[in-house]
Amino acid sequence: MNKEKKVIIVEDEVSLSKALQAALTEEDIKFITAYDGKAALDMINSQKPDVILLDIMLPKMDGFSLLEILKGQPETKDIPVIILSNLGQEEDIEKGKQLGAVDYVVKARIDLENFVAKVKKYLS
Amino acid sequence: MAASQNKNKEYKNLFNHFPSHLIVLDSNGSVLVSSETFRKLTKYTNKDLEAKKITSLKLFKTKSGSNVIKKIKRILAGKLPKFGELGAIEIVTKSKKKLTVAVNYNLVKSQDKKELIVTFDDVTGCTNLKEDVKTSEALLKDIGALFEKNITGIIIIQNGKIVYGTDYVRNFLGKDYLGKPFVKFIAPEYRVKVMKLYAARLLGRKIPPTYDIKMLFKGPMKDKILDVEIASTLINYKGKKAIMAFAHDITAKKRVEKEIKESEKKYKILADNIDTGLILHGADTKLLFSNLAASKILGLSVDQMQGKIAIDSSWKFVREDGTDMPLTEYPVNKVVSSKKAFKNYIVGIRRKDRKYITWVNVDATPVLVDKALDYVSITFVDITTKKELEKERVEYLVNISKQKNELNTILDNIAEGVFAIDKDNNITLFNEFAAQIFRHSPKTVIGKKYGRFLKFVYQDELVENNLIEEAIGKLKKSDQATLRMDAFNITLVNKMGHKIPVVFDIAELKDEQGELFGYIVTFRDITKFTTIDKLKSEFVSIASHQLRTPLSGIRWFAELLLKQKTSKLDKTQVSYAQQIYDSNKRIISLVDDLLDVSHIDSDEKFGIKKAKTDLYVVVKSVLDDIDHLIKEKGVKVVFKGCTPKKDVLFIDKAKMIQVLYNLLSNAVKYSKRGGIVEISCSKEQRDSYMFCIKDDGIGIPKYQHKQVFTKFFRADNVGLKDREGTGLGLYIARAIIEAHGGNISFDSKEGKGSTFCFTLPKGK
Repeated sequence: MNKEKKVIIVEDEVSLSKALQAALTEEDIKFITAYDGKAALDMINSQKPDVILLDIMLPKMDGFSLLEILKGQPETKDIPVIILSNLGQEEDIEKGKQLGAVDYVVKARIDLENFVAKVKKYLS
Repeated sequence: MAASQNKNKEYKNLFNHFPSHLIVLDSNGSVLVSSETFRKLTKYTNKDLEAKKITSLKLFKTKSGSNVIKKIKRILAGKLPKFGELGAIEIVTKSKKKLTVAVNYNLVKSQDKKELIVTFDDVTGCTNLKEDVKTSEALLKDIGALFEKNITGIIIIQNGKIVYGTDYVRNFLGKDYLGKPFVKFIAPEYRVKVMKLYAARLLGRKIPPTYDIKMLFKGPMKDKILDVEIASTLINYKGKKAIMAFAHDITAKKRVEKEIKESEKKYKILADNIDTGLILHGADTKLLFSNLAASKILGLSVDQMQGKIAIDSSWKFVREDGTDMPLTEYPVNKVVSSKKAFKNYIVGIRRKDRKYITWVNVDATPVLVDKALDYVSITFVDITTKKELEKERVEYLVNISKQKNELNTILDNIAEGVFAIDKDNNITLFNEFAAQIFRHSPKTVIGKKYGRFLKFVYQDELVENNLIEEAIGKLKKSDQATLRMDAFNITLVNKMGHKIPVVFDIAELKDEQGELFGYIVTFRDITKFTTIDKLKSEFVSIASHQLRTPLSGIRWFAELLLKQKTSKLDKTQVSYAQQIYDSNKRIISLVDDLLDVSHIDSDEKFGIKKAKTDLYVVVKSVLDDIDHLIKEKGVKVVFKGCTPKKDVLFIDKAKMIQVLYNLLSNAVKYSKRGGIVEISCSKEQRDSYMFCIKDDGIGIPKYQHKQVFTKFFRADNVGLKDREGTGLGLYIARAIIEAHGGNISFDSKEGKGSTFCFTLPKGK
């Protein structure tokens, strides 16, 4: 793995964030974490991660709004965003993809193993 | 009586002035009348003669005279011819002078009594004759003068020729009429009649006292035809029988008579040709006249009515209220007692020939002469039909208003807003509920344009009256009588500015002829409904997010326990972690299925989003998904009939994956180890596909076949290990197929396997 590359986990649910961190650590993938939308925006702007794992239901700024901002900024618009949410309705998935997310994953429906495989795909 | 007295008087007068010497005897032989000439001749006065028996008269006290008297007795007894000559006799005047007279007689009947006219011609000496003629002429002139006033002409006819005429006659017959046959002056069509009468008169037979003829006049009124009334008598003129005729000009009378007759005829025609019944009663209430309409309405012939009086039992009258009418209230009696006219008096008639009552509207008028009642005129019109119609109309109106009240009560008590508008957009109906919601009272809005009061927001835009117009437009296009507007997009705005969500139905109002006269709108306040719906959506969202979040945590940590490279778990611990992982997965799929079901239950279409979809791709992706299951079971999957990129349908891909996932995972799950699962796809009719999934597994017990597609269905023969499904898969599959316009069915034998087939329209 390229050691320079890192992902950001934007997830307000601490336990889920920890599980994701554990899985990424297993695979030696570097990551940073944010627990609300605003903090995430700041970190993304300052640290420019290579893949963004984005939850939707977030405090301070929701995932869709954050995604919209990121896609509106030239320096962040090309960073692949994988939405990681439990909003599994068709409308939500549609909306996420329309806003420019490369993938939309329903947390409850995916194993960490498969998820990490997706992350790896977008990192390379 | 007056007439006959007059006649007598006239008669006496006539004979009194008769130019001949004559006496008239009654059947007893008493002198009724004598002519003046006779009295002059005999010197006897009226007193001497009148009512005296001829036998007692000294006049005839001669030998020849007594012979004549004997003969007269026999004539009166009918033993001799009715007329004839009795020869010359000697008579003695009062002045004892003896005269010779020729006697003629004529037995006539006057007013059913025998009368004997006896004429005497003085034949005492030829020298006397000239004198006699002179006297006669003078007398005739006198008579003429007398009749002049009565416009009566007198002529004397002897041997068919006119031998004498008064001056008056000359006006008509011209100068030279004397000596000419009288027949010349009679209108041809009357000649035969007159000749017969002339002969009868000469023979002394009974003829009518007067008769009407037409005469042709030749005098100054040349060639004029006049109607004349003729009276004639047999006289002795200059010693010979002659007819004396009195001709009375009755042209004027005839004309008047004709006019009266004609007007009577016209009146009768008129009276008989109108629908109004006409009746004329005398003051004694006797019916004098009735027309045809009266007969028709009363059901009585003229004969049955004529002469009847008001209390006659022919009439059975009924008051307007249906009770019997007392005699005092009968129209005639009312007029007789009050002498006042009245109008529009409603009388019912019980006719013998009808079971129902005939109703008439009566007008009655008294005809007063010098304040005394002369006639009662009654007119009436049959109003039976009108009255029946009126009754029906009243009943109809009562019914209508009753129904209207009922309807209003219902309308005002239902928990639905109802209003109606006419074609000009005026509000014609506005019920209590509508009033409560709109906060407008029916009084203020009825009859006014609805746009002023009824405001709607449709799809977040204030559309005001356009909404109803739009609904009407849609309704017209739809070919249906009613239309429901989308339930969740309409909000009405009331007087206070409150927005209230409503369901909105509109229907055409048509009359009996199918003519459109307006629209009726019903709406329901769905505030509660939308609140519940919102709560449900919120619950779904909470369930999907909030339930899944901890479930995701469990899933991932169990996975970390099982798969982490650094895991230090022993075999038992790993199996426990596996149990946690598996149970959690079941909860997750249960949550997913429940969410689907809640969507299905709230909306038939539950967000179906169709797009071009390659069937082959769908099947392959599902097979990939359940690959682990297939391998685990060692099942052989055969997939045939589908070609990539060829079998492209217009369907919801994600939902179709769900269907195939449910059906295929079931087929694999319930197959025998090493069994075969067949997937076949075939193009049915033009635009439809048939999809079948066949397994050779455990099958479904027959008694459960009916419940297969119901919620939470579990086959009783499923082994313990395979009971982990939610029981919602087939229910969801059917809902999705049906939302696509397809059908799903199955065939199954317990122990032998099941086949699930569904059809799928190709779509656009």
